[in-house]
Formats: sequence, C-alpha cells, structure tokens
Amino acid sequence: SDADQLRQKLISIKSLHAQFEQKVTDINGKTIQNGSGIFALSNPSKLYWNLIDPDESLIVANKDTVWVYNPFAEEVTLFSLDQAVASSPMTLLIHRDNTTWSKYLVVKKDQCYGITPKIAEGNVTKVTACFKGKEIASFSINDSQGNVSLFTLSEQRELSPEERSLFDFVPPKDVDIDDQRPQY
Amino acid sequence: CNTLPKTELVPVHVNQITDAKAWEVRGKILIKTADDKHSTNLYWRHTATSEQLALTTMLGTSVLNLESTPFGAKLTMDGKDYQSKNPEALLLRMTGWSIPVSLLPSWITGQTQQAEHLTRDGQGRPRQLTKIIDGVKWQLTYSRWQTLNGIELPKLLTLSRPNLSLKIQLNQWQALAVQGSK
Repeated sequence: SDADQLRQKLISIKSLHAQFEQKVTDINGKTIQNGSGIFALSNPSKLYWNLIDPDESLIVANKDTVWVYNPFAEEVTLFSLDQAVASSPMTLLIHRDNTTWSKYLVVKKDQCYGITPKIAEGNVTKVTACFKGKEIASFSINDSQGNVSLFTLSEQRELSPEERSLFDFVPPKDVDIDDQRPQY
Repeated sequence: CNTLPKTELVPVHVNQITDAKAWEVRGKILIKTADDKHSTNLYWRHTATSEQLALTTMLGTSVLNLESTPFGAKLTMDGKDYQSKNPEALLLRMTGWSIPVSLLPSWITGQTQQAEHLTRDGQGRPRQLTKIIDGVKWQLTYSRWQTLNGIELPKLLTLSRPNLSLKIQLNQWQALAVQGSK
C-alpha cells in the first residue's frame, strides 16, 4: 500500500541533516510567516527542528518525549510523542508503530505522499511528504483554515557522529517548564 | 498573461511611515493573562479600510484569523467563523484577550499621536505612553528599535493593562500599495 511504501522510504533514511526554508501562506495565498533553519532526524524516533531566522524556535523529539523551546516566551513545553503527532505531525515522520500509522490514510501522487488523519484531530487536515529519489525534498502541513505551511529541504546529508547530541535537549536555566505529558 | 486584479496590493517603497497607506508586518506576540500565556507568530495587514490579524503556531497552522472592515469583523478559530460589528468585543468574547485592535496598527509602527503622558528616549523616539480606553488604563513601552526597509520601527514593545500584557516583536515590515498607483 502507499502507506507501507512511505514507511519503507522513511525507515530507509537512517539519519538526515538538512537546511529548511519555511513559508506559510493563508487561504488567499498571502505569505503570513516565513523562516529558515536546520532540520535533522535519526531513526528511530529522533527529530530536531531548529528555526534560526527570523528568530529561534526549537522542537526536539527523542524517543517518547518532545521538547518545544520558545525563547520569545521563555518557555519549554514537554509533550509525549503521541500527543505531539496530533499537534506537530512532523513527528509522524519518525513514528514507527502500527497503531499510530493506522490512524492515517496515505495516498501517493507522483513523488508525494498525502497523509490525512482518518479522524480529524486538532487543526491539521493533511501532511504531505515529497521525495526526490530516496531523499525527503519537502513536507507541508495543511490546516482547516486553509493555511499551507511548506518546508523545503536542501543540503540533505547523513548526520555526523558528533551531531548525535542534537537530540539531547537540556532546557536553559531561566525558562518556565510546562510539562503537558499525560501523568501515568 | 497573469495580470493582477486592480485591488491587489504589492510591495512598494516609502520614505516615511506616514506615506504607507497600507502595510504588513510579520513577527511574534506573547499574550500573558493572570493565569496563562500564549505565544504565537503574528501577521498583521493594515489598509485604509481593513485590518487582518493572523496568529499561527511555530509550524504555521492557524491559531486565529481576525478580519475587520468598516462593515464588521469576522474571527475564524478552530475551523469556525464568528461575526460581530466590533472586532475588539469579538476577540474578547472568543479568546478572553482584550486587544485594542483599532489602536494597535499605529502603536506597532511607533505612531503615537493620540496618547497621554508620552515620554521619549534620547533620540526623540517614543519610550512610554499611557492611554485610557473605555475606562481602562493601557501602558505601552518601546524597548527596542530597528530599521526595516529604510523606516525606523519598533523591534520590541510591551502593551499592558491590569492582568493582561502583550509583548510584540516585529521581524518584517513592508509598505503596500495598489498595483501601479503612485
């Protein structure tokens, strides 16, 4: 199935380090947000998304915890990986288990895979991952208000050994920690 | 060929802020209430007859979109639309945030004409002002300035009233005009 093909492609990416350009357009096609930064992932279940320009924001997923660091708000928010998939579906790119993937419908069109939640959860209506051969070329997030957030990747390469530490996030001292993970 | 519709606004150069009849800004906003704080990306498009405020998450998904014209305001949140004559009342009712939508366009661009108790910094730029709106005292502080597209504009400002504060950072500013107009 298209879903199996996509998951195979994702699993075949052992690790990735890339530059990204982000452009968000609203329902009328106006650019309402843009930025650029570094995107990295390491299979299984490690992801690093660091917006650098115009200012810094950081998402790090490592095994089952996702840290969202927002320097402007002086705050770090923690989510479980499952929670994060609904709010930042990029984490689906590193999610392995069948139960999570079973909640999504995957349809392939040319080099792109459209991933739509079977039951709408939150604002995201579709995530699209496009490939150039084995490499992820771009991914985009569509929401129910007609926003399209497009991340275009470039300079894709494997992670170097010392870049493994990218996924070990330690919150800075003077920030609020908001732990949203479900307490067992 | 692809001709832009007459009313399409395109980037234009202006020599001073007052020449910009329309503009758009992109930046960030932090809304702190007594018990909560929300940080989103901010997009604001101001024209002579309309305001559009779009708040988005880090990943670009919509938090809210407020559009207001002289005929009324429409707020879109969680996929639903809400209408009202008054944008401020609509925003307050749906989010609990009282944001002075009508005054913000001039304040975020450093234009502080109708303010009370205005103080200026060493370079003559507005530093702090207070303004009474509907009996509520707002305090505005400009803490950093920048030059964008040749225009001196605030980089960081804080607007507060009892148990609400807005911290706004501007990253991009662009004057706009109808295609082909002077």
